[in-house]
Amino acid sequence: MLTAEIIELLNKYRHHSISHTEFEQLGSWIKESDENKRLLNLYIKYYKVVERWDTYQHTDATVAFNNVKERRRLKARRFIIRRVSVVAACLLLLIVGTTCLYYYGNRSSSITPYSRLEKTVLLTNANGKQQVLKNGGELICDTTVNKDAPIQYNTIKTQPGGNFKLILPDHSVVWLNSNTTFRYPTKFVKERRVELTGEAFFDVAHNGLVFMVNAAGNNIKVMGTQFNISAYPMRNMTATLVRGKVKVSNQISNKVLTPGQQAVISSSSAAISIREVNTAIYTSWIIGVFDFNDEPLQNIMEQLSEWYNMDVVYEPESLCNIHFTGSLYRDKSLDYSLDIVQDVSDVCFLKYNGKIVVRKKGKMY
Amino acid sequence: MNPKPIQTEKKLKELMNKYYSQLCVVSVQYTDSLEISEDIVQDVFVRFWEENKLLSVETNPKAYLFRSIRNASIDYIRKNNYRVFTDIEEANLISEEEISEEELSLQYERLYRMIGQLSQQERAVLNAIVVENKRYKEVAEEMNISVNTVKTYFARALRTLRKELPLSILLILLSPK
Repeated sequence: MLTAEIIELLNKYRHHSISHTEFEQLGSWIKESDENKRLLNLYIKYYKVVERWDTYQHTDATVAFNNVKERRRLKARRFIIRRVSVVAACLLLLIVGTTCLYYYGNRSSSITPYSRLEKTVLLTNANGKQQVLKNGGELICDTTVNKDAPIQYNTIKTQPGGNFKLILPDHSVVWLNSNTTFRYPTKFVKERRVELTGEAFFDVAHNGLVFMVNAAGNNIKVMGTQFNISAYPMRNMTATLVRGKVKVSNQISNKVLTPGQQAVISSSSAAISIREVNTAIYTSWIIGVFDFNDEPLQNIMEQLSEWYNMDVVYEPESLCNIHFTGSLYRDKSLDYSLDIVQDVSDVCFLKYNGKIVVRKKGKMY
Repeated sequence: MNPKPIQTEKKLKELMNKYYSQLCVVSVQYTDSLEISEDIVQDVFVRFWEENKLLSVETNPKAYLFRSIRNASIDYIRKNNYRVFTDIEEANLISEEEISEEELSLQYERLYRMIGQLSQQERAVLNAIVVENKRYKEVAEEMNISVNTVKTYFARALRTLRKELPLSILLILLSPK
């Protein structure tokens, strides 16, 4: 007989979330009668039919090949970084006694009047000890933390216009965007839970443990995948999925995203809505490019003001709704970026008192 | 002699175009998860790329690939302590030869034809009550119908099913992925 309880066990069996006791329970159920055994066999047989067809249909060799290419590149890089940091680790651990070590790449920074040269990234460990890291750099968490040691939390903070790359103890990679605070444990036990305020792109390594991001009261739950989360205070939160599957949930509801989808969570109502997007636009910041497609000027200027730490004023206010398509590059100067926008549109930019004033071309004030 | 990097890339791309989906199908029979299987298959390709493997196995890269994926998938379920009834699982695996679009879709259609007799509402009600464990009242509110209608749909769905095929099979088709 199929009872509700057995149905639940079957479901758990299928999703591999069945506990040892439950598995034994199911085992004795199939021993009860041949009919039960037949049912289980049919159950397994048919979900395999469904998942095989599903898999065949939903796999794309071209996407996969690009992934393989990227993963190989990342792996090769990580390997070099790891070798560099073995030496650095010994030195740093002696001097600072902290649980993290860092490596900074030779990112070239262009000198412009509005790029902040003194930008830094701040790491605070569980004891409140602070360490200054180089903006645009990279930090690899120590994986040799004693298993019995209590879990401790570190916090990393980037400044407006800053960015940073973090490799967690499970080899997941997190790119932190401007003005972002990220809190993470020094080791992962049972689950991987981190907290985010601001924006980050995650490339989560698959290791069987659930990976959870808490951002502005919303939970994003994944196994192994690539996605971007933007969760700045007072703004709508977005979660954009590039690869794999994620579940976005809050007290109100929960939604599952498939690749190419973006969940927008209203900052006022916490309602979750889903739309199809070109994910490149939301993730290209990790390589220092801001791609936009039919974006209102306001959003473009918001990104620029984060990169260069400038306030923006519109005169008149309605100018913020003009739409643009194009790309901007973080390592170029602000003037370069503004000139591009100016060339192709009716607006012009003036710098005044440390602010950028947006006006309509040809109007004299 | 070491193959040139560009050759390796080209060869891998070619092999992936040809076999990627089929390899994922092989793997998903063990992991029961599309995401995990894609990860496993891609990992194997990354490894082969690094080790320049597939070019040295000139005779039959296809057989070698399928064997590697099978091993990697079995490794994965062992490492993650998946609890499975091995004999039943094994009896329901299909061989490489059977993994073609034609065969897979045929098996799938056959299955769906069996539940084709249910109306969409009946299916939705059944799903909500049996799989999602919802109450009649909740379902009625969500679907904007009366509680009595929900009960009718549910009873009718069960009646159809009992005649045709065990409830267990239906649950699979209805349950969320």
